[in-house]
Amino acid sequence: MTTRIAVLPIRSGLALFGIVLFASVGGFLRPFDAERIGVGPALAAPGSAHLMGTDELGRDVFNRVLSGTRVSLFVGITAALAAAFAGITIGATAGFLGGFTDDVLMRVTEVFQVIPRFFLAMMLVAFFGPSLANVVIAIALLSWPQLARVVRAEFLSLKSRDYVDAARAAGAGNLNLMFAKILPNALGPAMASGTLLVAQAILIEAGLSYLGLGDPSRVSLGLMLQQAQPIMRSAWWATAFPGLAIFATAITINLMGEGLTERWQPHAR
Amino acid sequence: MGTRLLAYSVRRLTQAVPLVLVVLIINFFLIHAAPGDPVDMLLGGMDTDPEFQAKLRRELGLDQPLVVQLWTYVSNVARLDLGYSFRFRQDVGTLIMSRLPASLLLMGTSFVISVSFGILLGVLAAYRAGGLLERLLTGLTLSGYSMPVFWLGQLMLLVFAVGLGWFPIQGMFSLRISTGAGFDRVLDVARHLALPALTYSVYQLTLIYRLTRVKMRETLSREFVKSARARGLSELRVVFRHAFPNAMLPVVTVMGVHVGHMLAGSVLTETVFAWPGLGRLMYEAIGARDFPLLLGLFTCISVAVIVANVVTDIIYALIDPRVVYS
Repeated sequence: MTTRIAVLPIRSGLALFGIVLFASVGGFLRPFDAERIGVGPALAAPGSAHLMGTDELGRDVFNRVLSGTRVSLFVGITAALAAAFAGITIGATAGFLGGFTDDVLMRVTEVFQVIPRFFLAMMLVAFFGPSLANVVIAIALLSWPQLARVVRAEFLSLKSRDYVDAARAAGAGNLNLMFAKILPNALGPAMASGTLLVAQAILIEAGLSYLGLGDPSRVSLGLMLQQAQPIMRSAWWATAFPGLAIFATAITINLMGEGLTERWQPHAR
Repeated sequence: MGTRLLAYSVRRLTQAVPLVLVVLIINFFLIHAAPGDPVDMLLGGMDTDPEFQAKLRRELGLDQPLVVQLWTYVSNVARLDLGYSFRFRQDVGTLIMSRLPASLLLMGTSFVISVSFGILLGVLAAYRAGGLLERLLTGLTLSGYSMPVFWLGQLMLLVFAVGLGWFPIQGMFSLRISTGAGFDRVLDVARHLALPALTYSVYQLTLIYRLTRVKMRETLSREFVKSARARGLSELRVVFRHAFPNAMLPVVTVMGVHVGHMLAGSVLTETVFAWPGLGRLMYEAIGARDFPLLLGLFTCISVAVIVANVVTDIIYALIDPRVVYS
């Protein structure tokens, strides 16, 4: 038997690796403290001293962008992983067991899909406080339904395959069938939509922190954009670079997700 | 058909009621599960004398069991009483209604632009699949999809308002003209509307374009399209009379599903351009931690999304009668 190995979209994968690497070690190029005020003159244009200029408090935009990108990636990846865990568990259970369980779980999923996600995330963070953990939880809580549906659909079509019957006849229990026999074959599509979730989570986090609902104790790209708006006339760089960082990260991850989708669900495109 | 459609519509509407209830229960949960005292939260941390707080506690029924409180809350909302914003010193419902027209103007304008261009471009791209236009548009829309809408708005401001000075920076009226009436005023609002409407249209257009392209491409490869071609019908007729209506069916449904997503875009757009609509109001409510207003806005937006879903389903049933019979 040959094992099918997910062929990652190489180029976007490498680009993402580049972004992660740059966000983690790029600070060595110009090692300013991202949080410190007055590491340079206020509103200095991009130049050799400050690659992306400084903001109105003399903070280095380049270092803040790196730091914000790390937060974005962290939020995006943790939220997507949490959503994937919930989505896969719920989708697998619904698809495998079918019947009443499936009905109940799918009704719940539908409810979560109809309620506007971004607004619910706003409410959760506004009421429970804008800590990084709350932001991640809010995004994850709202992102699992998509994945649950994909996994359920895969399970529905896989559970009646011969190899599953064979395993069942050989005495495999339900959990074994679900997670050891069927899930590995459903992972491809799950990974494809999970990757797209990372980009969505990054954009939601950016939107939340732009509206003032980000963790105030961390540098975030959305918050930088909010603070850049009043000084837009005198410092275009404070707006241009943080946004570019969000855009570059999100589009790379989206390209990767599209590549994976094409690989695993060609009909969905 | 008529009565069946009516019955179907009524059935869909009744299915929406529990959803609205879920939203209200979420609101209720937010008030009570969040850290802090509900009264403090509703007052937005403002200093008031304990006597007033005690009075409010009684009025809101906070000394009652939770189930009774939930019932009070739900029946208040059912009577369209959304509470009182202590920050704005105004009824939440009135406040929302006063901001609604600005939002509707922005959303309506963008909706017309993005639906017409999104569908047109989607059809063109699908028709010439693999062509230059498709590759270009697909690349552009992937960018639009990966871009925070508020950053796009800021870039528009940087280029067209700050740089070129073609459009005003923010707001809906110039102070100078705001007292005037007639054509000048319309022109003034239009100039203020241009950038936010363009930004928000790009955001929606990416979604509509992507959907239309996929569905149209699928439809164009179906048998009935081939047979229409084989019968010697003109290409224009094949594409627009035969393929297009069939491709539009799923587009309508999926657009209904994305209403919430679209509204989220409008909050961010309004915030960037200080457009005095509901989104901007939400931003102000967040800044002031005005919880009654936030809850009211969330209720209205959720109900709007739920209703939009029902309406899409009914429109779908109007276009495709098969739905009603299944």
